Amino acid sequence: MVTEAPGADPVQHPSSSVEPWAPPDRCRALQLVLAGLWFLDAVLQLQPFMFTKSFGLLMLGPTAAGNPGLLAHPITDVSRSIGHHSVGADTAFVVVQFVIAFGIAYRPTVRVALAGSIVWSVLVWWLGEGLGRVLTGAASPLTGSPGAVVLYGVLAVLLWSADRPGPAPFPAARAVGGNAAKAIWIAIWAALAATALFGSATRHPRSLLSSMIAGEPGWLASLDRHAANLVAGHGPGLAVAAAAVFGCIAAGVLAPPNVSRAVIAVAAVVAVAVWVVGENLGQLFSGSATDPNTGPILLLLAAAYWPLRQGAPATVTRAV
Amino acid sequence: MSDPVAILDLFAAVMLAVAVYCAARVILVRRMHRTLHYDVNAAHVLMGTAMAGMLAPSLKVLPNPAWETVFSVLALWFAWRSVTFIARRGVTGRSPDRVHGVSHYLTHLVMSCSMLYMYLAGVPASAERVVGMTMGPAPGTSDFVALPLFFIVVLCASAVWHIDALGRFTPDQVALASVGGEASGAGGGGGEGRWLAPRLEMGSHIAMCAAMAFMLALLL
Repeated sequence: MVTEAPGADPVQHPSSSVEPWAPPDRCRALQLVLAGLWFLDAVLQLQPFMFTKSFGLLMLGPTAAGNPGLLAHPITDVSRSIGHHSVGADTAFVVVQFVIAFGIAYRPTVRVALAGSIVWSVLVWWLGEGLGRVLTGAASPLTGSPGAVVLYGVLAVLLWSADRPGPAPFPAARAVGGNAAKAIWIAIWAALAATALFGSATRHPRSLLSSMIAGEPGWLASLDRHAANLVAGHGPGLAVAAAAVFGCIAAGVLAPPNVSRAVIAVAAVVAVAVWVVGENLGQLFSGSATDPNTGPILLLLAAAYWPLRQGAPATVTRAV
Repeated sequence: MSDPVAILDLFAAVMLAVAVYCAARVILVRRMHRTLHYDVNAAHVLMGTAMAGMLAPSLKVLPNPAWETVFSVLALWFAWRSVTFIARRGVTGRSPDRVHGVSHYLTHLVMSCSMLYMYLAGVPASAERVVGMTMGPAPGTSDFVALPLFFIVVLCASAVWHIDALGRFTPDQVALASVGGEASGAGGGGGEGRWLAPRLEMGSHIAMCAAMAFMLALLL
């Protein structure tokens, strides 16, 4: 880390320990995408709806329903508190998210910001999203379960700035190692498969998709209507098919490199499809979206597992 | 901050500060024997002034049709700059100072288009202030909301990219570039060709991206 010394003459006395600034490599570029998502979240948090009581009382509060009491009571308390101090609370949320975005994007503070983003993600996932409703049975990966924010935390771990010895096969392996990274990939996609199979929501896709039409632009609402009609009456089949696809993606990371590359490409396509059809582009046009939902995060996750070229640097661009 | 409208005032103040600062850069750059991109700084002055007027009607200095003309011209200018840059240096080429690529001009093209969109969508009508930040899509634009979303994504990406590049212009890095003989506007040997306060210019750009993205988000 370099700090400015007021009055110093850097031209005549450059520090010998300073490494030249390097353009972002792929690992760093992924960190910047994550920072960009946090920046977008901060901007979305500035929407007028977030400053109203409804944000806390009507948007956050209901996420407690169906969760075990031990988890639900704090959600209710916090949502009430946010609702009654809506402007101050939302301003604080905006600041926190801008700080995280800035911290990840600014090289000297990237680790602190990633660590902070993990803590923030866990808190928001619990107190703001009710653990993505995964414990209630009302969650569906087709509409954004388990929630984007928990995946932000996972990505912060996978994209942590750390230099492990030896070449990394893919960017996500750089910080935690190849085996641990593969285990995380399997855990995420297996969880999505289990949620699709055992959650009740995916078995009623028509009502799931129809419920998202209100407030969307005409072209997106039309897409929803067509999709809802297409899957009407095929709920159980859709749940099994979705679970099978997610399961194959989970296992695919263990396959030989060429196969796993194809599986990761499929994962990227699935992420885009889920984002457009199931998540309605994160409902960003509703005026009440706090993040772009899981689609872009799953896409970023896939990019973090895309194999690095042989000879490509395994380490992240160093902080300067 | 107990009133969300105070956020509009805060952004308006920041935009005004950016406009004044960038105007000062354009005026003082020759006297300080430095260099800068005049078109980009002029664009920041215009955008900062216009956004301040959108956010705080008392700061409005021109009627909307005038601003629409200004940003149409600006968009055409940056489109032209982008095309000529690609024609001369290719898509991945760098400017002679090695600091900027075509994305520099494309970003400002998007910013100019964003400003134009905001005026055409009716945001600056100042009515939003009366109803307390409840803007939403203007009538007739609800099917075009993908456009402001695209602008927002570009602005967020540009802001993050600039934050990452801040470290390129620390005094140590400037010294290193100078010692290494790099013909970079960042280092440049401390003479006539040195870029005037690059980190402050980038900070202005980051603030502008944040404010513009905020205003576009109100249109979603």
